[in-house]
Amino acid sequence: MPAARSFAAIALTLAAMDAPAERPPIVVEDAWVRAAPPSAEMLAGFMTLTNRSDRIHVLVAAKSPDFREVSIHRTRIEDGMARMRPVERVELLPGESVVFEPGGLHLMLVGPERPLSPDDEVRLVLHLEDGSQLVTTAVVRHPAGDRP
Amino acid sequence: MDRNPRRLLIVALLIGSGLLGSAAALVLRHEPALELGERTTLLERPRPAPELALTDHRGEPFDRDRLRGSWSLLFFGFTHCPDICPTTLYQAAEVRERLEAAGEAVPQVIFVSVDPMRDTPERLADYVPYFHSSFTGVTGELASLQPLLQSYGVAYGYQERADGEGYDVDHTASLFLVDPRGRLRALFLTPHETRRLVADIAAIMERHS
Repeated sequence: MPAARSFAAIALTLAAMDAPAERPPIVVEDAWVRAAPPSAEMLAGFMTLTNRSDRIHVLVAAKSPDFREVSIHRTRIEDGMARMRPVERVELLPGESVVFEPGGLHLMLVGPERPLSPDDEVRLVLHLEDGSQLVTTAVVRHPAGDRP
Repeated sequence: MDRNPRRLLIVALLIGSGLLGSAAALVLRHEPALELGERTTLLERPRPAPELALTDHRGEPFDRDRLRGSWSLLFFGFTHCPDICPTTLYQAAEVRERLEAAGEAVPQVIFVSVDPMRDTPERLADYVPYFHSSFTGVTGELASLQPLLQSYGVAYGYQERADGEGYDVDHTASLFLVDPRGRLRALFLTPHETRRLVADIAAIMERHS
């Protein structure tokens, strides 16, 4: 049935054209930097990353023009002790979200280039293993008052 | 072999009265056990603080008398700590606020640095009151800190950072509740849940005030 087949092909093409031209495979939501004392050398950034594509993506690094150094860390509690350890790779599985949150996975933001106050914005650049980059803006704020 | 019946009787009476005494003490002291969170530990024997020769963020001496007269909530950490210390200090501020709003006693919150090489009183003054103006930062030489760390079972260790940005400090992340007589009453293991902390601290303060 060549007619039906070509119709299907046209529908697929249309669907592809209908989609946003550059739909990002990874979506960054609720990126924020926890407000800290003005003298603080170390801050922490949090966000939710969602993989909207159908293949695994891997976050391997983060940078920011607003900080001297950025690294990915995880706070682990072992025997009642808090230990921070660098995280080399954050695997983002298709259709799943990874949450960076206080007491867990976080971006360690070292040496702010200027004093930061609530409502200030900073830029984060997330580097994926395939060489692509995601640029996002994070707002400085106090932790939400709706914690448990 | 002791076969003197009178002596045996006395021994039996002594044992009997001892048992009765304990039973009476149990009845008199019987109160329903507090229902506390699974990460909350209430000490059976409150532990007095050792002598302290530390300095607060105002440069004032901090000795163990500073732990008397009101309840205190202590946390051990360091100001170059990006995550767990601010997380806990923000939580402590929230706990304080909720206790105050509920009309409960409000413990003084004390942040003790386990990184005195970097955490001078001036640095603590810039850092600790940010979370709440009433919070107190405390530092001192490691040797002066040791008795308190040992008494409370606080561990710490320094880890060189791979990125050349100095070192991180691994440290016990529990919260410690001290009664108005300066005795450690309870400790709370991480992860801390604000609602649980508020409920448990209020219950313990009420029972032991």
